[in-house]
Amino acid sequence: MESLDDPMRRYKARRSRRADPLQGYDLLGYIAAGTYGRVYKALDRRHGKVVAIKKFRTERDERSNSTTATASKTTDTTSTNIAWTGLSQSAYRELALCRELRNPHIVSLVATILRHKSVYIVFDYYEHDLLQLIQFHGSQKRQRLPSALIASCLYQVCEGVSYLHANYVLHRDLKPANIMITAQGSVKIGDLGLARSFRQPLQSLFTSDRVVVTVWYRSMELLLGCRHYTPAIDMWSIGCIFAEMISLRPIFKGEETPVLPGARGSVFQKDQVDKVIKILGTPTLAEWPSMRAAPEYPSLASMRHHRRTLNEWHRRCGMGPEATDSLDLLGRLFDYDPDSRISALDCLKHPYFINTEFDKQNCFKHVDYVYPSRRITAVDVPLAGQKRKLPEV
Amino acid sequence: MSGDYLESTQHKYWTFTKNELINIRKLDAPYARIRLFLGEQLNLLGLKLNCRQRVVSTAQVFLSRTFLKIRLEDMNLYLVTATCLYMASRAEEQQLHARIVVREAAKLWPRMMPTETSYLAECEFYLLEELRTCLVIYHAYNPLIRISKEYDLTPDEFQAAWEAINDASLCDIPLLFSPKVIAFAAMFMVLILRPELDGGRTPLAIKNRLDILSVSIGRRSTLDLTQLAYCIQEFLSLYSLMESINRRSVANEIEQLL
Ligand SMILES: Nc1ncnc2c1ncn2[C@@H]1O[C@H](COP(=O)(O)OP(=O)(O)OP(=O)(O)O)[C@@H](O)[C@H]1O
Repeated sequence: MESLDDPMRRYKARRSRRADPLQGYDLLGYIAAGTYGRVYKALDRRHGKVVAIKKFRTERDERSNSTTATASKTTDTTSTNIAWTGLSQSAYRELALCRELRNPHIVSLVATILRHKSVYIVFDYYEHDLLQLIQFHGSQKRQRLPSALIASCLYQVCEGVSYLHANYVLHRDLKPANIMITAQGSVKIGDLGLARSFRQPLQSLFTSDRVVVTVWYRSMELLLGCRHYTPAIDMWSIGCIFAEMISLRPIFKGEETPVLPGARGSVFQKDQVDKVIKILGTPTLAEWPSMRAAPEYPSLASMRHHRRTLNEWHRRCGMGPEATDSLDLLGRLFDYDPDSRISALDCLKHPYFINTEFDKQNCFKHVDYVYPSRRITAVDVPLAGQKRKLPEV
Repeated sequence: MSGDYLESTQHKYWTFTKNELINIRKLDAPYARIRLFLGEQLNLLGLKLNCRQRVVSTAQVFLSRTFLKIRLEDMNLYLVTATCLYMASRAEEQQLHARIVVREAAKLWPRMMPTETSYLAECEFYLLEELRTCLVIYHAYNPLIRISKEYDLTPDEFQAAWEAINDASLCDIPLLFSPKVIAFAAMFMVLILRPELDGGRTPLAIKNRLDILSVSIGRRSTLDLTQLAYCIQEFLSLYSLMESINRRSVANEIEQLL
């Protein structure tokens, strides 16, 4: 039933006659639930290819308000029984940025669909991700990742990130789970839900969202409460990813201190800082002069001092003395001073990539076995069913 | 994000020729004056909500694009206008609260603006689809900043050119021209129409500057002078429409559509 005073009545009548684009996809299974929604595997019948569909849930934020408004209203004016609520800011970013960005090393968007009060982003389907590869080696294969694979993944990630940075976009959530890999070994950076433009931020990038970067991949300046976000934060995360490929486990696996709901500002992630300085050593003002201005500098200063043990760490991972390039690159990615930390573009020129044998397009090139496919769970609920009933997120 | 304009969705999907616009709009004859009126209303709402210029200008572009996809009688136009501002605040990472947008819009347009927040969210959802989720907008402000240094604009001239760019977003200019062409056209508008802003240069100084302008613009192989001329023409018709428009009768016209 449509009410006469619905301000979009004529539009909706017209829209309801259009075909539902979701009908062009056959659901093949369910992949994963992320923070913001669910990801499904599907067949795009029109293009005859397999895709991943990310379905975002709508924001709950305004809901409390409008639900009560709807509930208390007399039923005659309700055209729908669920109140409309906004989309999350994360969905907005991913929609806006994935639409705009085009690069061989960034996940590529096939379509965006707005139906059934949900937003669906259709991406190319990627058979693997870096987390899955690392876990496979750590738990099943029980051997290190081939060095050609490490170098190729790292190289392709740096290419993607240098494209993002050249376009003034910070990813802000780089981690192995967000690094997709095709069956042909091409690496794609995914999950741009936290990505932001840093060209002319209208607000300090800090004020608008407090949580950035999963704590294990968070750079020292962020851990010390710096509010000036720069591309260097992504480079630190790349360092963590590099280290994780080498050792098959997160290099700085800190315990996240929960932020109490409603708390203003951030909390000092003491355990995470401790994990970092145990390997990289306590930062000194000589190597990072502007550290003195960091809000949490006093907290750091009160912690126990540690000396740098990155060389030992590297050796313990089975990297021999011949691997000086890899150690050097790692050190540059973990430069405490964000101003002197290596950029993505400079990474690509680092001797590590010159002296290591690898393929720039295919990380599986020198690998003589096949990684298991992505695990898919069967779903019996259609992506967009007859009764507009979609799998709940 | 502000990378390569030529790779942007704005350039690829949302830049048109004059004829294309005419073909798309054949049904909406009163479009220009309604668009101008709503654009001015949008500016007012932006003022009430303390929005930055970039948010308002992005909203103006969303509004113009929306009208290429929906008919004027399809939706409550005040709701559409408010929704564009709300969406722009999110696209520019300066998110306004939906509730506050609705409240201020209802104060500004009593009886016209639906007061339920959920309508705004619903409208946002449809507009996102109509806009094909293209939310990154390239404005002429950055090119203006660049050329103002090159051509040595006085602060008053710069300010006036900036305002001309704001005005341009009330008509088809952003749908027709690249940000760079718009910036140059805005600068020309100021130099031609507002000579008093020159700050008392001697005739010789003025001539020198004209020489620099004509030589260097002529040499810029990437700046299409025909486009520039067309853009200036659009500016001129915008300003004549601004002077002749009867706002009360347009408001009535919109009410008729509801
Ligand atoms: N294009 C794709 N092809 C195959 N699998 C994908 C694709 N995109 C995402 N996935 C899978 O879905 C998971 C969640 O996706 P994504 O990271 O984009 O969601 P999210 O909600 O932002 O998650 P989070 O922020 O918690 O990592 C990924 O880790 C990956 O395993």
